Amino acid sequence: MNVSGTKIGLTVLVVLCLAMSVVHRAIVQPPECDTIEIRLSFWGSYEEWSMWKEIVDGFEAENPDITVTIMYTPGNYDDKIRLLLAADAAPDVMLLQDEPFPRYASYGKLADVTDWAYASRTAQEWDALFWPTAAQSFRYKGRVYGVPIWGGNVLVYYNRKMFREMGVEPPSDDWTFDEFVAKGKELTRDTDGDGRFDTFGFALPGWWVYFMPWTYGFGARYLNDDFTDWAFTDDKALEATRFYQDLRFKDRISPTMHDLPNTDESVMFMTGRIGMSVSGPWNSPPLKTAGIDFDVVHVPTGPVGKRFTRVTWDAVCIFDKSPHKEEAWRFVEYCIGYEAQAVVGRYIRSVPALRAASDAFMDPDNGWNEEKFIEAMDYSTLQPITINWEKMSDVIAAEYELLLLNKQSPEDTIRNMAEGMRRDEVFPITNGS
Amino acid sequence: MARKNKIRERYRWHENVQGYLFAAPWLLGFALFLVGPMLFSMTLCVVKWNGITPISPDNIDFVGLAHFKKIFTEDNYFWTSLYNTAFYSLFSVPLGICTSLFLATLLNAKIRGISIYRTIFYLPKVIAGVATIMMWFWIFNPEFGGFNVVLRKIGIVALGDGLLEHIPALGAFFERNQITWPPAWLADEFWAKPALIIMSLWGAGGGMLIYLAGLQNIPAHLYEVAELDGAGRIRQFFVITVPMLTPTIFFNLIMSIIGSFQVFAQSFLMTDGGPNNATLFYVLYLFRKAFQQFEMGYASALAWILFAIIMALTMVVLKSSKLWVYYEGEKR
Amino acid sequence: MSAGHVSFWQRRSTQDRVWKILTISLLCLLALVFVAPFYWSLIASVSDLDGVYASPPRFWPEKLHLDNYPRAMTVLPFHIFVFNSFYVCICCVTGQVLSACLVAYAFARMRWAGRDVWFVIMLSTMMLPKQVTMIPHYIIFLNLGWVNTLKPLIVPSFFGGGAFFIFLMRQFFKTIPLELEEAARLDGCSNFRIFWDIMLPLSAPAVATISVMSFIAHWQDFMGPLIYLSSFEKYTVSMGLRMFQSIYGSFPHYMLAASNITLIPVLILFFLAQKYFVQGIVLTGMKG
Repeated sequence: MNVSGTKIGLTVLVVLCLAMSVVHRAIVQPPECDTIEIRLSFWGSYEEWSMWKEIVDGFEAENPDITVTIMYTPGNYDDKIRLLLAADAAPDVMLLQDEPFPRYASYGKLADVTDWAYASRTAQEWDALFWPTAAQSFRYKGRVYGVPIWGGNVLVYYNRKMFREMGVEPPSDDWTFDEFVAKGKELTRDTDGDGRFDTFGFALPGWWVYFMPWTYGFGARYLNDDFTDWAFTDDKALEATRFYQDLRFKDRISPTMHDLPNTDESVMFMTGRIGMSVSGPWNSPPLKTAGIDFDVVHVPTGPVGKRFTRVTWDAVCIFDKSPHKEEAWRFVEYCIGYEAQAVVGRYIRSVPALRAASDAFMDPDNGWNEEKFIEAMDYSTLQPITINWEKMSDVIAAEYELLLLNKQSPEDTIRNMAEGMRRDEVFPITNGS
Repeated sequence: MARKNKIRERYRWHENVQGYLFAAPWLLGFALFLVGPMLFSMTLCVVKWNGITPISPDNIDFVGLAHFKKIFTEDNYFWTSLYNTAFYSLFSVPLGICTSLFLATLLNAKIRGISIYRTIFYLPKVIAGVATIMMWFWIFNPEFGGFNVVLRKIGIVALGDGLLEHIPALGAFFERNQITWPPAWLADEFWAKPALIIMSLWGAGGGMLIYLAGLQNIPAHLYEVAELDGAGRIRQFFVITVPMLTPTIFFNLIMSIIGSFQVFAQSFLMTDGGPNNATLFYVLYLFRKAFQQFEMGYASALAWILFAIIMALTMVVLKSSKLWVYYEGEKR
Repeated sequence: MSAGHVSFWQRRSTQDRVWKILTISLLCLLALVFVAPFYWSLIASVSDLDGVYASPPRFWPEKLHLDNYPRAMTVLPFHIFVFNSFYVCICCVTGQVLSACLVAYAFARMRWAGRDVWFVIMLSTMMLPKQVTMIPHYIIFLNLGWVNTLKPLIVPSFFGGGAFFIFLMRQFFKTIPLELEEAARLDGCSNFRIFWDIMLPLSAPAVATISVMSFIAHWQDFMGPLIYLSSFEKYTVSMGLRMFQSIYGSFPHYMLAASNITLIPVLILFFLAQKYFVQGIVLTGMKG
């Protein structure tokens, strides 16, 4: 009897299904059942996932009794983690940023790891393991709740090819704010003779935190010394704010919406339309992929005579109600060990928190001076992080936005920020952190 | 006689069992994946729950009709998203039907190589998905994307500049509402939805094939009679073709309305609801509420409201169909 | 029609020719318009960064960078994404075809109590927006532990395959001559034998049609993977492209190269099975 086409087709389909499910099982690799499973959650791109995978593989090789399950959340990490914490279903180990850290710690769901951290070291030794601001960022009320694993500060990136083609000298490391503006002006030109500028000197950062090198360089501070009250109200603050606005509207080294309609500044930097930008080490991999000839230089020095830049850290924290806190701590210890930190360094997306692993970050043959990020740790200062970071950031961002659209004067900006802090009950903070 | 009845009964019973057995996959699916979830969804509407925490009285709060009240009285995003979706539907559905019909009419001609054209027009529908969304994202790039490049090349941008200059009212209107020219498409509040509507027209090939099949089913003698009566091509179209196609148009209209109200991927991937919520569509808002803010009860309420709206529109079209849908064999 | 001389422009043959020219030119123009997006996408995908962001934009790249394609594939593990998509599609097609045929036979040829009522109910489910059941589905699958697996994408296909395909198959089954079935019954064939040995073999065209339609629909599916998948190893191509966008969104040449790659299987299937596509859509329209 002849077999019909349909039946052949269906049989083929069923066989394919079964075959593919076997292969799929092999790709996905469910965990073995007789080990302790700890869950690790983080966000980020595929490269960060690869980095974690390497670290996890290294850890599992040394600790065969523990399996680490990766919970990768590309979007809305904050919402998800907050929910899981509230539901007491949080992963054992969580990657958290420094900016929302005080808020997370205040929920009371993070494990206090001070005793483990200081088990074989003194408090000073613990701090000294890492870069100056790192350990500090993850203490809450004097106790250690997070262990820093990587971070980065920001420097000025410049497009070497664009500088060369326009005949402009690359900036030197000890340049001042005035020299910075002058360099920007050299790059701002009308190249096709139509009366409008086509290239610009500096990509004005949209997010205010990236402008901190200049703000601090004027001697202005956002908060007072113990981070309990708003302090961005004096003349220095005014000078810094005016400088921010002038870059775009007076000195014209930064484009407005009308100058370059496609306002994606990273694209403008990459295609040689904007000469300088400010960013951290995480900006370098995409530039490398795109084959851009770039380099970094230390931030310019302001009127106050010293250099400042912002630094941000990410840490791993343990969930207080995790059933496997000991094993989670073993993983955390591994993460700040040399092996794991060297993995971080090699990817050059972030600076490893462990000072001893800096050599892994530096690659003398890659054509640019990434070691400056390490050098800049000397003058990196903490961001104004408090338990009300998000609210504060919203107020600041709203006022700066108006400033940078030329819809508000620097004086009004400063005043409205201070008012906003009072109105939204951001400052003063009275219950200490 | 009784024995015959018994045999018949047993046969009947046997047939029923077999029937249900064969239909079991769908019946099970209906219960498990449709009716059950629908009932579940209805109960979700009246509680507050994040969906992640285990089902227990601690984690779920009964709130009655509070969600619905909030939706209708306090929630601006609801009204915005409804407006955006209705706008999109209002334009993309009729334009889509007209485009499909127009293409089908063209393709009905007996020209050599017609199947190549048919392939070209139908292909976009086939490959629709994330890939084509990325494609259009690039095309709508204000400075480098194909759309504006072509607009500039053929002088429409210059024409528009001229119009804006010489018609002060228009210029002022654009100025006041910060509307860009040349259009910044997905980056401009005003142009974002039109951009998505244009994108949907590219997929008009799907409906086109249906109309084509319908066109080929129209008896030729109708046209012959019309010609003898002296009707020109255009008149023939409106007097014969369109009425004969109304059943197909009717079906298509309903399916298009239902489909257009569920627009999601384009705004999720390209604009994330922006700029300034101009492309915040209903399903995107629902998605955010459910899977980003984890408010399952609220999102379920939104889903049912969507269902109600779609049902209402379908009813309207259905009721109105008596007026304009012409089934062959009916007396007029 | 008056007798006598008819002017050139009133002559039927002239009018026919004019319409023909008009139709052809419109077709050409529209074809150009419809092809243009593909063209732009292809051009951009073989340019380099400077070519893509050239000012003024170019209609033809200076140099063809065909290596964009292999690079786009290696930056992310597209082979895994493509495999997962194939896996989901093949399983779904199998499930939908098998269950749709079974159920359609019940509606088409078997007599059972409530059949017509259920049929109407089934048809009306086509109008239900899936958002109503989306959230409960998620919660059910979450409690089953199936979130972040491919199971939620595959398993529902085995339960009937969707009202649309059931409807198509039922219409098709109804066109199979009753005599064949009656002859088989006289010979003592059970319902299943009739289904398996008569109905299915004769339905090859319709089965091919719904297979193709099902494959395409599942290949394109975005919301399902978006809701249920969060590990890289399980991503389908639609999630893979989204991931690609978040990393290389500013690099249109890579982004479009990656997008075009994911279109290849669909294009191949389309050109091989064009006939069935067209048939499928035609069958849809027949309902109206």
